[in-house]
Amino acid sequence: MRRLLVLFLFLFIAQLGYSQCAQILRQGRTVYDEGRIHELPSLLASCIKSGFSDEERTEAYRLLILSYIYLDEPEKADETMLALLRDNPEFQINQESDPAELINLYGTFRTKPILKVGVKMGTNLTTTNLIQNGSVNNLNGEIDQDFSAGIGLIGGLVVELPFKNNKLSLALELSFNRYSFKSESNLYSNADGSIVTNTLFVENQNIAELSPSIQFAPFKMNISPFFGLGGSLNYLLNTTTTSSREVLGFQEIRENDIDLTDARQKLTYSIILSAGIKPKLNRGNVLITLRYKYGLVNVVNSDKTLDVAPEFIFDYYGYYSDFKTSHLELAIGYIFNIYNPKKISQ
Amino acid sequence: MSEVTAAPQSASPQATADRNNPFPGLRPFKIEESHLFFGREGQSDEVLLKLSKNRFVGVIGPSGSGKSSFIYCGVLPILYGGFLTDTSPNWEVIVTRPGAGPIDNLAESLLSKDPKYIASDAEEKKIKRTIITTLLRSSSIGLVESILQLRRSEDKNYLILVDQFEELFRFKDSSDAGAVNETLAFVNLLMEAVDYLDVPIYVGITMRSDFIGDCAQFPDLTKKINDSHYLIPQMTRDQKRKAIIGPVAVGGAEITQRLTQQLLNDLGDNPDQLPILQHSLMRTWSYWSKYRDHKDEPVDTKHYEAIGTMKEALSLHANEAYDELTDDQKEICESLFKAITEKRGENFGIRRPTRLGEIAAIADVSEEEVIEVIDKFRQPGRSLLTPASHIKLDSKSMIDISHESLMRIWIRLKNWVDDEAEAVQMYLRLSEAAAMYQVGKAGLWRPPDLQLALNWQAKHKPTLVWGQRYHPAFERTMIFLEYSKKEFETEQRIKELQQKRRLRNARIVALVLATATVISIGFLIYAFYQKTKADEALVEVQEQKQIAEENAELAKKNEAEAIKNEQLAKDNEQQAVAAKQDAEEQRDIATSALATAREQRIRAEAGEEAARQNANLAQQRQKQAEASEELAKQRQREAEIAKAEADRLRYLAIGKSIGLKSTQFRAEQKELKGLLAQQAYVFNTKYEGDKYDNDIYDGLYYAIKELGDPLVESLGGHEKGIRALTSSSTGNLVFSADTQGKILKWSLQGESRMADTLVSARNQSHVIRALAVTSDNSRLLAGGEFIAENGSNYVELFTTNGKNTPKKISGFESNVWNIIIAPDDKGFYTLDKNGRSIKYSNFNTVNEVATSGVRLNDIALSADGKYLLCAGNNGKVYLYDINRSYAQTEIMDNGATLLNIAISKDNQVAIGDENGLIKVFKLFGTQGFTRLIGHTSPIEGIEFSPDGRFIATASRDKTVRLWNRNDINAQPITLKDHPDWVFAIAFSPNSEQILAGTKETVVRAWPTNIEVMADKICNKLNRNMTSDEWETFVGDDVPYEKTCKD
Repeated sequence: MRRLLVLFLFLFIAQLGYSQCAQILRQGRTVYDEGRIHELPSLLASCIKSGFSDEERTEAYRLLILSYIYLDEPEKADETMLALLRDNPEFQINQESDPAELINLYGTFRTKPILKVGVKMGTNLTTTNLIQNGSVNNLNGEIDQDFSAGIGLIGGLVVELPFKNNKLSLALELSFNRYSFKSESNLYSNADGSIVTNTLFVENQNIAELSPSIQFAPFKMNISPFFGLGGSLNYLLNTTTTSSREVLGFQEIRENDIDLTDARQKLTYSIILSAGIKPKLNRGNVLITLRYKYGLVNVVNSDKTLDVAPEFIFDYYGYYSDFKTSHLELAIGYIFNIYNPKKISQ
Repeated sequence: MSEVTAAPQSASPQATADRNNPFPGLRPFKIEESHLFFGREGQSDEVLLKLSKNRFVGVIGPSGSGKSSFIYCGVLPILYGGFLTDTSPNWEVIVTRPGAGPIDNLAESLLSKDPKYIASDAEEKKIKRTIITTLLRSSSIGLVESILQLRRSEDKNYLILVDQFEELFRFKDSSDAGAVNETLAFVNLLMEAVDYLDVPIYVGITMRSDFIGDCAQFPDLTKKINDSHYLIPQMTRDQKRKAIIGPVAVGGAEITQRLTQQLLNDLGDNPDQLPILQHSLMRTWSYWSKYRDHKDEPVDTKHYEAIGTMKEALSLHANEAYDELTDDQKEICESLFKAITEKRGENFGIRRPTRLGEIAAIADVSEEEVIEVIDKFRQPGRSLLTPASHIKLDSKSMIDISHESLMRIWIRLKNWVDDEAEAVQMYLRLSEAAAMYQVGKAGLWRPPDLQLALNWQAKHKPTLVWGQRYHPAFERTMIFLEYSKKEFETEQRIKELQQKRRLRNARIVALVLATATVISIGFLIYAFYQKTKADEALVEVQEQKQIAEENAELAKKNEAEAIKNEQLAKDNEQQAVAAKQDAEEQRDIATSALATAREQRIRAEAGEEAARQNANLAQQRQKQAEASEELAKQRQREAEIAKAEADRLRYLAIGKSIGLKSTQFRAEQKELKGLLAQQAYVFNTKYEGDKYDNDIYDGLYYAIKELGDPLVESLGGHEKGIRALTSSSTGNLVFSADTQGKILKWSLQGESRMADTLVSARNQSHVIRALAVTSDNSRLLAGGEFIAENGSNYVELFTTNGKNTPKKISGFESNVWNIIIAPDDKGFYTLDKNGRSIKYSNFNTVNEVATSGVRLNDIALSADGKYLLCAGNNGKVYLYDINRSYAQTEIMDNGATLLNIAISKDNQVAIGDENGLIKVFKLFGTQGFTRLIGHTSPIEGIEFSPDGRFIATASRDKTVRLWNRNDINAQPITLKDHPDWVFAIAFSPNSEQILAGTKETVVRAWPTNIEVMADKICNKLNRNMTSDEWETFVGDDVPYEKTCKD
């Protein structure tokens, strides 16, 4: 019971301290409005140390800075501005309504983030661009093999280094991608055109990707749209093909997972076009991005296919066609801004 | 451990230098230095005699009297020389010092003479040492047996010389029973050896005389000492002289007579000083041999003084050693010296020999680290600490100060000793308190004791070993302290909480009471006011009533008198008529009787004359009544005039009140508002009110503002705050500049204000804080917070016709706060460098003409251009006399920080301060100042109107006040309609308008003449007040009149 009382007392006192500071801020506004700014530093000092909420402290700092400006004490104004930016690096001035003196002072500080770090995850769609057909069943020259797109996953880390003017930035992403695509063929038609066998391959690739790009954000809008151009280096971790074959009327469906990792190129390259938006949220930005990743090189090591997986070729009538892959990605993420405010000019 | 034989010397340069030095310093003379030992010639014989007779001698003397040196250099050489006649001339002298382990040391000394022992390796040495030690410990004749064992030749005599015998008592830990036994065993060994007649073993001891009492506990020893001791005599002055001159001569140098004399004088009679003398001489010699001017220069006082004389040589020497230490070592050094000293009494430190191991534990460092420090203090030529430098230290070694006087002379050590004493005192107090607390006889400590104890703990960082030296319960004490601290902190926290709560309650109560009080006082004042007004009205009414009644009564009285007189006159007339009738009757009667008739007739005629007289009298009375009536009318007229004056004041009051009332109307009622304001103006004008009445002004201003008159429209064109406005005294131009660098030129023509842009807003930061225009309006200067070029700021010079690129006048430091153009237009003054520099420029070059240690916030230039007036941040007003090369004088002290200053053409000065107070005074005047009270916030601008009518003041309280200079104490016109702080003001050249620039984008223009505004209202209204409106807002007892003509 007594402990409970003490707890209540504590909460009450904490609340009291808080509301006292809120009151002091109100008083501070009035004092500033009335121009008695030489009284402000001592009025706000203790609550700035502790007692203000974040918003209140920012406002208190702003009042202090303005006071020092109009008291012609530039060193103290600088100090306070730095304290404000360290406390709340997201602090923005209002170009329209803030006094020019404050805007000028703000302009002498580095207020932009020096680095942005974030995570993203999303989904992708993989398509294949056939270069050359290759299959043991390719005897009559007309094979009926259809590649179709599959849906995969993406997750990764994003680091952005903004350039000075803040329109351009260098982005580096390290991501894990799971790509998936299908290939289907109906082989050995009868003379009447009816199908004898059905084969279906679903290939799942796990790929680590490192992609640097330049991002360009030409418009000053709240949602911060941007465009990007870059490249990527893809490293194949492994790939598995879920193969199934059916001879109609004669045989049940046979199905097996075959490891084709060694039948694929380990390293491939792509170019990347991207676009997206980065609306502000708390102390960072939400990232919504759409990327198109165009594969530049053949992903298949066709010579090795037979050695690696004869089962794939002979049992499932698999293919060793050469092809490239392209991907469309949609990802969502969040980017934290890292600031290091300092005075940059006198 | 023999100092005689075991004296390995390192070959350091220091040692080499020392080897040539004939003075040993603090250590005793060694046996090989007997050629340097002077002053005790002839005293050895007696000692030898006693030794030979009793096979024992005790050389006893006070500390520092040279006992050891005497034995080494006075006695032993003779002994070796075989001068002891009744025994073999073959002598082996075994020198030992008891130290902390007398028997171990004795064993070591015995062995150190044995060539076999010296030749053997460490393992063997250890075995041999153990054998001898065991032998010595086994029985009291152990020494004899050992010597027998080690004896190499039959006719060898042995002298066991126990140097520093007092160490037996000094180094003994009395609480250790083993040590007590060891002391006893040691003494017994010696006694047995002396008494053992088969082997010629002689024993000599040197001992400080103050320990002689300790010997009494050993009866054999006491007896021996009684039988044979030699009390070493104090050296005479001559002997001392020899001791000085002798070694110098041996060293191949000369010493001047005066130095010898001075040394002897400094030495005094205290035997304790001999080592100090030796030390000083050693240092003097070293210094002399290093720095002597020529080879043959004798040792002189200058060398002696260079090493600090006897008073300071030791201290300097010790500091030298101390300064060689690293910072960490310095700390160890402090702990070391604190451990081996102790303070007894007020100014009396004593030595406290301590084992190396214990010192290391106290300092909380390894023994090697301590040894490193100790070695610095005992290296050859220094010997500030014992054991001597060649003795290897281990954890049992006793570390001691070589001479007690070090504690007296070395200031640093003295401070340490005091410091340590204080620390010990505190620790003991604390321990005692802890003990008392434990048994419940005392409470925990509280400040200031607690604070002192905590300071002590922080400063001394006491270790366990340190604490246990003084009081065993170290842990308990520390826990007690910690507990006290925690307890106190908890208590403080609780107190703080309580206090905060109390404070808050008190605040609430105070607030409630204060509010209640304020309200009560308000009521009280209001009540009083009402009562006074009522009383006054009552008195006046009664007076008026009385006068009127009196007048009426007087009139009535006069009337009554007049009526009475008239009646009287009528009565008389009637009487006369009756008398006439009567007379006629009489005449008729007389006619008949002629004779009597004449007589009768004469009588009748006399009656008629009386009647005529009465009629005249009646007429006079009537005139008198008329005069009275005239007087009554006169009184009435006077009463009417008084009433008219009262009415005038009343109308003025009504005027003010409806003016005030009008400002409170909303926009929807703007017509009525206008009518009321105009009516207020009409009353004020008609009844001759104040020409610059604030309420009338306010009423009209807000009315025409509501009615949309261009006269009061604000001047647009700036996008940011305006901090500078200026105008010259000619033409019709006013210039305004904002904090983005935009400058506008305003042409003023009544309510038409045309703006030309001289320069647009700049891209980079460009806060204009000062503007000034030449008197012909041709050139405009702008200064402020610009981005410096080549490290210096500049002022911009514009021409005033149309947009143009400014010429930059460079050479200013930091921001320019103020610009004033000289009256001759040939140059201008600026205030820059954060208010610490005043510069003058001729529009081309810039020169600093004055500087100020105090930050100046504003400057003003007198109209004749002779004086600069400055408002100091410290509240003082400074005058710079330009003709006297800017000589500075302080002419006033305002107290509060001054922000603004202005001076009029007739040298009236106005200053404005941080509290919003304006003070006006005459420059060089004698009348003191007038305070203009009204502003509630710091002042931002002060201007005198060119026509001399006003002082205008601008403040951060968002108002501009126009003070009527002809009636300075009257209420000023307060121009309130500003959205934010007013930063700058400027009068139009014709003084008819004043412009005010604010922190927001607004520039306001205010007419200074009320009638300008009054003329506008009726044109904008198409009606007059209805009688209802009149009755409601003006008053039902005020006769209706038309406000505007139809």
